[in-house]
Amino acid sequence: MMGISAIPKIRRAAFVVLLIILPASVIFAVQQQGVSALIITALTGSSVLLLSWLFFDEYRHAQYQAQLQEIKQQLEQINQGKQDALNIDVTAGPYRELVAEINAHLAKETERLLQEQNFSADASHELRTPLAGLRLQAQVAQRTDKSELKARALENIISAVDRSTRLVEQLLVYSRLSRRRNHAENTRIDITELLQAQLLKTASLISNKQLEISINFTEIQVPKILLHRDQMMAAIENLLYNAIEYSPEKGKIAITLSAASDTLQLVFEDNGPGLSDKDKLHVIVPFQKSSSNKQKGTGLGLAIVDKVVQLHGGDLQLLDAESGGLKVQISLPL
Amino acid sequence: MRILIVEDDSIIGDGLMMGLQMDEYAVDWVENLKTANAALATNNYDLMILDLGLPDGSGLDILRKLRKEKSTLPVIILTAYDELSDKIKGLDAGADDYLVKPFDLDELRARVRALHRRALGRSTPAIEAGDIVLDPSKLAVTRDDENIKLGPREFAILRVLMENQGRIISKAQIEDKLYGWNMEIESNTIEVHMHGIRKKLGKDLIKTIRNVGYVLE
Repeated sequence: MMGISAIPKIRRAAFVVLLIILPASVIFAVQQQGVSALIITALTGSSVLLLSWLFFDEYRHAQYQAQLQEIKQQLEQINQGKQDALNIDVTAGPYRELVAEINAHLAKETERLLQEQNFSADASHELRTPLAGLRLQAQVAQRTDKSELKARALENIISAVDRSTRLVEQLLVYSRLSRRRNHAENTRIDITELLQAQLLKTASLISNKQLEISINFTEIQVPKILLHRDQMMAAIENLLYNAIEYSPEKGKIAITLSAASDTLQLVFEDNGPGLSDKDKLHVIVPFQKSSSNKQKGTGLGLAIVDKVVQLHGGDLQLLDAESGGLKVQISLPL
Repeated sequence: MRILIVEDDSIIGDGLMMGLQMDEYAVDWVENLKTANAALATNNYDLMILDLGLPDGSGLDILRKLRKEKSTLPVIILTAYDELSDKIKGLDAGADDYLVKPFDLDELRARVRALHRRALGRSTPAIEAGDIVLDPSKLAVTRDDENIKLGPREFAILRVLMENQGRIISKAQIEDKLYGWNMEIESNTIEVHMHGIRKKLGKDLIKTIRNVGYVLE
């Protein structure tokens, strides 16, 4: 800041000095006619050069001031929603990087806004389907005089309410993840603790389907790592929930934990129908479900897992299990 | 009337089936394009209720295929989007009507009746045969303005015959309009119900054409 404001003052002083030198040199040349023309020419020539440089610099300075003013005005327009980005030619000036940074930020913001809008549209669509089912089933229960139809309709109503409830819960979890990550909330956690807590929570689902769950640790002592407890809990819950949901009756779920030099690896394998390579790319996008199981699930489970892993600087991979089911492999930095 | 429902959501599909069965239609329900195509190829439907977002493609594909084959099957599309473009796309692909989810069951039932009526070339809601009037919306039959109480199957059989007045309808055709895939048909049910109808509306209303079928003159 100091440098920028000081430069015009120096220039102005130099200009005044030049104004004295130039007429002085002309007078000197007239008086000393015998002196070599070379000195006069050199003196006048250099004076003119210096002068034009000074004037050019003054002009440039005014130009930058105007650019700054233009940036300010355009930012006001952007704030009022009348413009999307700074549209100003600053390729040679000092504001080139500033304008590029602002534009990059604005583009990111626009993209985020667009994603949010799409997400809301998708979420409302996802909620409409169970609501349509609820309304229809309630009307059936209301209109029919057959007790078995009434019972079936009520059963369906309960299952539609459960489905909507899970969707609303998942929406909340996902929207919380979308906020910026706060590293301060991370604590050193033994991930097996989270696993055990979730297994306990899903115990009735597991026994209802008579699933066989095997948990394998390659290390005796799993190292504690820095995790956001609630986020990682949500990720593990979704992984387990998915494995249970897509496993056949009496199916097998294998959970493996292993630690390498710089990563902790968590692998979930089920012997369900698995995913095609195309679906593997789809399912981590919110509300994009696999083509074969469109109506199961909320469309957010693996999107949540992916986001949590990303926020932890880890890596998520969807692979084929040997049994033909899905293998979800998560690597977290130690 | 036999109706095909193409809907992948189990709760909506089941609700549609139960709701339409209340009007004594034969209802079949499929959950994807592939089985829908198979059902259309093997059965004679009077109406189709079609969801657009199916697991193996868009319901519009079936619709376009049907219309390309010059099928006049009345089709109501169900759309989860209340965007105008989806309705326009559906209607332009050959749909006769549309409903936006969530929709009202009674409205759907009325639209089904209206479309079926128009498909049969009738403009009045009630069907008349001499002094007998059948009102599909109330599932009621009157004779000389006097209510005649028919059982649900009897009503459905009479509706088929009155809709096809003057035409001989075989027993198999009647069964086809009464029973969906999920229903058991007993071998002599039609005869039993026919007996019931004749008892309530007179012997001469429906004629039996031996080894061919029935006709209501």
